[in-house]
Amino acid sequence: MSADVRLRRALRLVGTAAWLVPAALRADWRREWAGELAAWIDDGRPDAVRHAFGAWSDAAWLRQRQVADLSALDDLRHGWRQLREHAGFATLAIGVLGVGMAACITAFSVVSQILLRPLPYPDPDHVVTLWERQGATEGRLDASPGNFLDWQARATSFEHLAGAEPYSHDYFDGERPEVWRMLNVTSGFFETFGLAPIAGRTFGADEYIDGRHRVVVLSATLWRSRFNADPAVVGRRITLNSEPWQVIGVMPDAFEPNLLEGRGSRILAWAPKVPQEYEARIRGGGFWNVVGRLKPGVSIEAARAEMDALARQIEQEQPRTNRDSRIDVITMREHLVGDVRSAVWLFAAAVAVVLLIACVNVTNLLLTRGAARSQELAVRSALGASRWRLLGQLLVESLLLAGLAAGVALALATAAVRALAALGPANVLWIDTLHVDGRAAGFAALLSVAVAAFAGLVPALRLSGVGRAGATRTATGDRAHRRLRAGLVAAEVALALVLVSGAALLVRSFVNLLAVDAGFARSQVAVVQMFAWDRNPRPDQLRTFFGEVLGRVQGLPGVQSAGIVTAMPFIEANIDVQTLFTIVGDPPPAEGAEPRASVNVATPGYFATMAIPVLRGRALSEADGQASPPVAVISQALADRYFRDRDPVGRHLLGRGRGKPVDIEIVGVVGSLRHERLDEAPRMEIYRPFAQGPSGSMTVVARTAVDARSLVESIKHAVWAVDPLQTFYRTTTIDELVSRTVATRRFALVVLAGFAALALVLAAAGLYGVLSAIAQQQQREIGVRMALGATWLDVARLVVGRGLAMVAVGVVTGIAGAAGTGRLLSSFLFGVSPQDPWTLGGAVLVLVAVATPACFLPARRAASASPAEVLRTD
Amino acid sequence: MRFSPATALVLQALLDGRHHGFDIMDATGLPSGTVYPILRRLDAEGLVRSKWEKDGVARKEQRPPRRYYELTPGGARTGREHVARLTAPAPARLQAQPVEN
Repeated sequence: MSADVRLRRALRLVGTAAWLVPAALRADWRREWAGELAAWIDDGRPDAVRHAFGAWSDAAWLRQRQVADLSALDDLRHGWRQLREHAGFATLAIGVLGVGMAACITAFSVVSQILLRPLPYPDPDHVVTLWERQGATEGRLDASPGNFLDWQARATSFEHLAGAEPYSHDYFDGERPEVWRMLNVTSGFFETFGLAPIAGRTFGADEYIDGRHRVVVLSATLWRSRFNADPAVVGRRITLNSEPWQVIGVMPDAFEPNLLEGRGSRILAWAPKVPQEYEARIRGGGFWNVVGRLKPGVSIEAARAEMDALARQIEQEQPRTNRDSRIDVITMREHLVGDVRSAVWLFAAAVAVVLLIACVNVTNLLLTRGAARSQELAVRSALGASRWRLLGQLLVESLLLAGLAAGVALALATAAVRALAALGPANVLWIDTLHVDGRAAGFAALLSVAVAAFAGLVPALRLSGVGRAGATRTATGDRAHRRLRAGLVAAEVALALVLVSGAALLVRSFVNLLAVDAGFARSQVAVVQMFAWDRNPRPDQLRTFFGEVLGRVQGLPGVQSAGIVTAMPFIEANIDVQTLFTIVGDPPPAEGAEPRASVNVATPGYFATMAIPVLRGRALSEADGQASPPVAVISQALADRYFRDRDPVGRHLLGRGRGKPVDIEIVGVVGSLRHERLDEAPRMEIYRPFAQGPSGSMTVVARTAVDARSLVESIKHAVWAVDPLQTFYRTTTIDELVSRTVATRRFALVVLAGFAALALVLAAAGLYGVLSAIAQQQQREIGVRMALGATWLDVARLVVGRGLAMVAVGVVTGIAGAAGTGRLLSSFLFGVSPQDPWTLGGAVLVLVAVATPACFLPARRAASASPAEVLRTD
Repeated sequence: MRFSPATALVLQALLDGRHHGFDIMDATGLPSGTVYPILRRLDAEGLVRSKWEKDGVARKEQRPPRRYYELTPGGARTGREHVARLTAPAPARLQAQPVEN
């Protein structure tokens, strides 16, 4: 190889490293290497190209030397040495920040994986759900079939609009029947979501016809659990409701519309809905879910406007049933997570407060620690380090602290998220899938930078100015320094008070809620819900079946009383069939203003079993049989609404039964029941005797003196003794049903109380830390005072007084903060005002009780030091 | 500044009259990627100064000009102290042969 070629190759290699060299030095640098390589090759020396590789090291060195990050590397090394030499301080600071950041990372995971979780459908913002809303009634209602059919026929904003009727089918595999919770869906249902099956197909247009409708699409969950993910499942024949059906497809895991979320059960499969002629007339009392996909270019606001106009149109056409009826159109995301959004943001706000307290705590620790480093920083300044250099050094040390804390935080957050996934309320969607993912790790990295800046900036600014001002003049730092630390402690106390008072308000709300009279006894009742229509289609069959079942259940050992009812309070598949009626003898109501109430069907034993009091007249009795005149008992809520001061007993109602008018005598008034939540209004109910209007959707309830849970199996066997193929939709106890409805509140309370406790500990630790530092730095002054005759009590008063002064400032600020943030909590409160003075007073007492030992301990230590020792040491 | 054995070798080479980067590399046996960062550090610490060699020298030898490094008075003093303290007996190649500037 010629010398020229070797030189060219070597220079090319040098050129590849040139970009690293700072621009101002680059030209000279290239000249230097060119000169050396040319001289080397001219001398006939070998390996010029090999030596040219050294240009990379040289260029890298110049880069790191010339820009600020070289100093950052030095600062990191210096900071690491500092942390190792002061391990106690480092452990405390990393621990405090780590706990605060762990809470933040957990909240981030919850927000990103629940509130902001991407939906798996194409163009998910165009997938909506539709609900009925009735006048002033709180909450959204399922749609009635008649109304849905009108929407489907007339609405123009939707590419697809489909109804889904919850239906349980009995699957029989040859051994024991089991309930499959399914949806019977109208055409357009699968098309609305736009996901293809992973096997087979969905329903064709001709399968929504009676006789051709016995086809079923399985969920991936059912396919795996029941059919072992058999790839040949498509085309398989199965037995549903004692009839042959065919599996035609399997939907992917991503296809979980969760329409019935909140009712606590997963949908296992889908079947075609065959519309019945009478369903077009059902408008009062809905139980269908409705989903739709907006047409391209149609906004949800436009769809809402159209449906609002349509609702008013239908109201005019159907004044009896649709008076004040409106249609809510909400996005799928809003439907899935809207209920928990405010709770999640409350959780995030509490987390932010805890992190703020942790950062303020560490700021104070850094300031206290910095006071001990003032000599070191003054020397560095005297040796020529600029203020910016010192500031940079201190900020890099804060970043190192925060970075290490982030590592601790990720480990803690992983454990916290696992605990949430395992123990969080089951009705919060996707909570069981929570985990710490890459995004959370990225968030942790960003958070550590933010925390380093927030916690480290003030100490860095103050301490980097030490060089200018010289070393601290007094033993406790200058006055501004002391005031700053005291102010930070007061801020921690204020923030802690906000959290503690918030938790106290939630505690009071929870206690108030649990004390609500639901209208029935909340313990020692076993509950078994079943749908017996398919196996007992005629009324006489239903009377026979349930009569035998009730007789067997009443005869079980340990059963004190038993009954059956259609609308069981607090059960997930809560039934609410509403009817219009008129009161005989009252002036006819205006059209559209007819009285409305929920109709329930029960046996006489139901009231005693559920401990529902009879307030006037009598309860239903065995004498109210099929051949007897139609009777009913009504709830007190209905009596208050429509009878006011008049005695309802003996009055008659005109209602409708199977399309015919029915004259019903009111024979009694019973206590009102809440049906879905403890904080909702009691239901207005008309109870009809089971014998006079049997239903197949019934729940058996049995009161026992022993553990109700153990009775459930006995009840199931009693039912199987009558019909071995009868399935059960839900088996539980009454206290589990009620407890489930407060699970989310209880969980929120536990979490917030935990944060409040953490905030208290951090604030107390901050207070203790600062007072200890002050007391230590004032040791000489204290020594002199004691030498001059001050007692330990005088010393203790000095230190404790300082501490309590900080607490007092914090409490006053915190009260203002708590009063303001209390309003944010108002949607979570029950029976207590956000500014309740007793609650706030209690929170202040708790805070002072925790803060007092934190003040007292440093005071005792300071007072117990021997003055002679102190003065001698100094 | 930390004076590693490698730095001591470079200082020794400078004391012995080596003034160009590759000559120092050749004299010390250290790779160029080690020698140059040391030279840069010594320059930054004020123990060495550098300049371009005279144009005439480069022109005469018909090559590009080379960078010339020499110890400052402080650097010479420091260098002698640390070389004495840190270096092992100098390798045979490091002979005190003055090189023409």
